Amino acid sequence: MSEKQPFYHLRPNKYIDRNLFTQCLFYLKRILPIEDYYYIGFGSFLFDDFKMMHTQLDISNMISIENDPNVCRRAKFNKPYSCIQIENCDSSDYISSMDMGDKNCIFWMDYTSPSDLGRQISDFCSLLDSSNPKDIIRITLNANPAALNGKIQSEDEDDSDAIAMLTAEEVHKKRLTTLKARIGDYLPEDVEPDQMTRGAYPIVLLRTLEKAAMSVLFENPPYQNRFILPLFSSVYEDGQQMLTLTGIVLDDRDEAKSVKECLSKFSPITFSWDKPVQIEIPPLTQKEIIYINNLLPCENAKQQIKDNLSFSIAKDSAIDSYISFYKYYPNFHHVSL
Amino acid sequence: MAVTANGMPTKEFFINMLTRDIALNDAILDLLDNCLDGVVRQKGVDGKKEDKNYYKGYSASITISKDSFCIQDNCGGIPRDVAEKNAFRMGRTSTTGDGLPTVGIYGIGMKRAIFKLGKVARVRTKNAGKAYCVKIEKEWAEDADHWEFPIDELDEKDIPFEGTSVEVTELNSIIQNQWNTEEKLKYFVETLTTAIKTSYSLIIQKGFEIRINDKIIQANPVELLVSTGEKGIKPYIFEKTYGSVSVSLIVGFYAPTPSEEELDDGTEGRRRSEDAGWTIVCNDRVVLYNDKTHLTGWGEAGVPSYHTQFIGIKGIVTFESTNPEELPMTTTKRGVDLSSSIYADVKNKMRDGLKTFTQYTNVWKGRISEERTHSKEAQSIPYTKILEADDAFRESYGIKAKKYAGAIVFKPELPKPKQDKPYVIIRYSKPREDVITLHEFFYKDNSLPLNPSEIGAKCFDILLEQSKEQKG
Repeated sequence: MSEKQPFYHLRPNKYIDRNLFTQCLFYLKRILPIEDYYYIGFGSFLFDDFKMMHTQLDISNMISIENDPNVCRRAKFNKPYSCIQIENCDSSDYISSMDMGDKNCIFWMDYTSPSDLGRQISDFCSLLDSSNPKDIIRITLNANPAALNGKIQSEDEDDSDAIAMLTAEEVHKKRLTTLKARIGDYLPEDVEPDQMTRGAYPIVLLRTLEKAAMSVLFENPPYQNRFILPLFSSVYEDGQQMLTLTGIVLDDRDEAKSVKECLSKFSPITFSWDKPVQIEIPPLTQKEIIYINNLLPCENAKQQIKDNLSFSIAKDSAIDSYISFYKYYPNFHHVSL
Repeated sequence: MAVTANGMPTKEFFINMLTRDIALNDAILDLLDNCLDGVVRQKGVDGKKEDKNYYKGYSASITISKDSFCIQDNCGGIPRDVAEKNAFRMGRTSTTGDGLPTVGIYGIGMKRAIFKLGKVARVRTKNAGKAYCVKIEKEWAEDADHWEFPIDELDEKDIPFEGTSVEVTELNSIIQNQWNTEEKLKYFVETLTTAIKTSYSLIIQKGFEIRINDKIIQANPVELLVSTGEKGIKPYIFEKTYGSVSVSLIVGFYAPTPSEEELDDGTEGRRRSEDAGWTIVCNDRVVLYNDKTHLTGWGEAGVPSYHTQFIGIKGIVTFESTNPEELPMTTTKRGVDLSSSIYADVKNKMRDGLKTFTQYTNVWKGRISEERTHSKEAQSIPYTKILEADDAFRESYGIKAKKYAGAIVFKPELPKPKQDKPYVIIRYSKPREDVITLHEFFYKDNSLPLNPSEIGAKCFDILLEQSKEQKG
């Protein structure tokens, strides 16, 4: 969503993550009137998610929030459909003043900045607080633990060199201190410095979101029934490691059952807070793609791929990732206009 | 026969009314307090104050599931005669005080916690080699006349160590509602962990082990800034003994004073951990945590009310007594008793200490970066270490306490700004876009974090320089 990344729409892992989201909504369409939902997101001036929502899911009530007045003018110029309404305001202001009545919405808070984490989580809470049952909430956060190395106090000199001198334990401890300063009480009690690693930090963030959600939606019938059912979460990287969580707000345990049934065939779904899928697709040539896709789907695909090709195409985890998401693998081609 | 009015207490009162006065977490903390009091009864009072590992080897383990609650300890168990005569009565009689520095006074904690949680309980205990089980059944509540609980003898091998376990089942519906899904249970455990860390950090640091669903709870040690030099950031200390109550007070900075940006963050509703304020500890037990109200002297008798400017100030007062009734805490052990004359006297010192530091943030207002040179050279040291320390350790940090009127007092001389010329603060707001333009103009690097007040100061300096040149 920032101008500094002009090829935002070309990020392949994010592309897959976005596809998983539309696919998930596609499944939910069987039990929910998704086409009548409002879609609210941060479309920037490229509107990739908005295009998918409109063309694939028939959603026509769409609102894009943009704080930067210049990007906002650019967005108005670039918006692909007339049914997208662009709001020039800060996302926190938008969320705290929004009033959807009894209309349902799909809200994607697609954040990028690691330093505003505290505000992003409190936005997540405000959104949940004003949500209606059956609203679908999705949040993307920066999950790169190195983003916590930086300066804590603005007066301090840049410590990127100093970081190199520290032991791993010291770096982890510093990261946890920064995280604590950024998100305060949202941080779960049992987080230890050794969780401030690439692999574990996304889980810490997911557990933070769980704690934040529970602090707002503590289901206590009969007057307070709302709860959030996590659908799936994913970790991916196109430059910076990111984390996305998608969940649905409900007020009825039976409904949760039917949502679970409806999505039972959708493989990334875990219905759990802390088991994200890893999206790390390998760069492949057209020829490789066609060859591998011919083998899929298949039980021992990874072994077959390794046996049949006389060269290594990617590390094991990336091959696994390809096997899981080959259906959503993007194809970017050079086109001259 | 004279006509009389019935003054019998009802079970209803104990089961439904008393339990309303206490939050669930606090009720569970009451059960933990009983474990600690058990340790004190086992070990006696000798050296309690000095022994840094007083609770070592003792532990309590809490197990919570969707339909039961259990707390098990190895803290000595309940003597059989105490169980038969007192422990299960609703309230303590005046003769049961035991002259030990415990926190239980009123003889209500365990029963209140049990009825807060559920209807059926088993209290299994082993003391002096004898094991038995006190049973609270569902029917007990329905029978208005019989107040006794049956005791079953147990084989001493049934309980592995001298200690007590309290198991509650048939949970009340309100409790069930809080624990009936895995997520809710997890969230409850999280909030209970926070409550335990808040109240028991000191005890955990002294060796006590607390587990919830098999997870050990870590202490959250409190540290204060101390610099080594003659002058510099140091805490204010006051120690005095009032009869059976000995008091230690320490207040100072735990974090550097906030910058203008951090102050602004506070007003924008950004959530941050606010560790400022007073914590009051009675016999190792935290009864008030990070308080920022008049209860602890804020906003009265010349002390300003709490404000984010004072976000770095933290104080701890510990009260220790073999006669717990003298301690300034309320019946729920979750607050201070303002009518205590000891507390009233200590509160004067708390205000005196507070003023030292609020005044410091005032004199440095608007000169934060200059001030930071002082707060940055100070080290963070656990406050317990400063309080326990001998004179030599204290003096190595330039803490030279004075003794007078039966008290030990150290009032630090904090750094002052050079009184070259008085300062004023300029505040103004400008469009963010324009500030970013200037940021890029000054730094030629937009990846550096934006610091608006620094940019404002630069603009001022440039114009001031220009005006001087024109004059010259």
